[in-house]
Amino acid sequence: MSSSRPTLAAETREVLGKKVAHLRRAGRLPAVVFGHGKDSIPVTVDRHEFELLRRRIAGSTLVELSVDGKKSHPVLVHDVQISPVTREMLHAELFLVRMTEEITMDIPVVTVGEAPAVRDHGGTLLHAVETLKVKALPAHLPERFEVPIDSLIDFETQIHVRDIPIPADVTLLTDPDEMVARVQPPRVEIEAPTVEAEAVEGEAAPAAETPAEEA
Amino acid sequence: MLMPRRVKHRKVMRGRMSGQAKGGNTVAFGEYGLTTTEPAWITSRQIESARRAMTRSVKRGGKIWIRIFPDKPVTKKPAETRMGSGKGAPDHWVAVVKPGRVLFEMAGVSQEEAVEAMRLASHKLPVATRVITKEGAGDGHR
Repeated sequence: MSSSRPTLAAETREVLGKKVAHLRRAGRLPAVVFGHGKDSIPVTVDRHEFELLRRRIAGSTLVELSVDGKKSHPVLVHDVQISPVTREMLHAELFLVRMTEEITMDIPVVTVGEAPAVRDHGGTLLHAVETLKVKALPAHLPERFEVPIDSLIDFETQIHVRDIPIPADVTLLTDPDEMVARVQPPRVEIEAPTVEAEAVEGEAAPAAETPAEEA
Repeated sequence: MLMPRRVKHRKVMRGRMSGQAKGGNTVAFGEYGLTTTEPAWITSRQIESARRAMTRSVKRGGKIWIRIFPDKPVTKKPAETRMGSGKGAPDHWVAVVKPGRVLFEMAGVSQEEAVEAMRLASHKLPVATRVITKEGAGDGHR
């Protein structure tokens, strides 16, 4: 089974702190490997290779990580830090899993199909819950939950967490009564004057602020 | 236009805008976001103007979130007034934004419609911007 998993090669790194900037310039991505009961190991991975891998896998996909060419171990890509300005990857967290220990994870919920209320009535699909918290063995974690939205025929119909089929070897931790998706009625152009009215009311606010200053 | 209902202090100091946005730098509610790549003061008029541009661009459907709020008062002295005699009167409200801050979000429209609406909105703003998509659905720069 492990042969079908994607692989990733890493090298241990001695450079810590702000000095990792020169690793990034050299095309390496700083990362850390950590896990339950294990010491964390600072590593680097090839940034391009990791970027391609990240596009192919979901958050719950096990990756075979080999550090310095040694025996590979299954890891999960736990988190990737992204620069808010350049949108480039800054750092990756690789979570070393124990295959016999259950882990808790947020699995994305993906809508499938087209809601008739969107197609026929011009509504907007609201996706209230985007992830489900589940507990399962690492090998049993689903990549995603697919939710058909063909049942959303009007603006009152809702899809709840309980409507999503959950595999038997996965325990759901999210409240089953939470709403997953519904269709909002179309926004009409009357909305703009409403905001204007608020602004007019708000004009009086600065004058009334003076007493509040003492608070 | 957006403005606070009640404030603790009517006049505040200008402050600094160094660094990057620490919070509000990911798409949290919608599918697409408009982020700034520069620090700036964005006035409530500019926010309202950008919102209208986006709303009119998508005509019907879609949902828009405004992720910034102008809570900083800016004062101005009357025209042809000599310097001194204290700080001027509150004139307008601004939101302080730093690079990476998500200004607006959209959902329920196609990527082309969202990008076009945000392009129109960006022309109403005093900053260079970038359109990003929600994390997990692939970043906008890809």
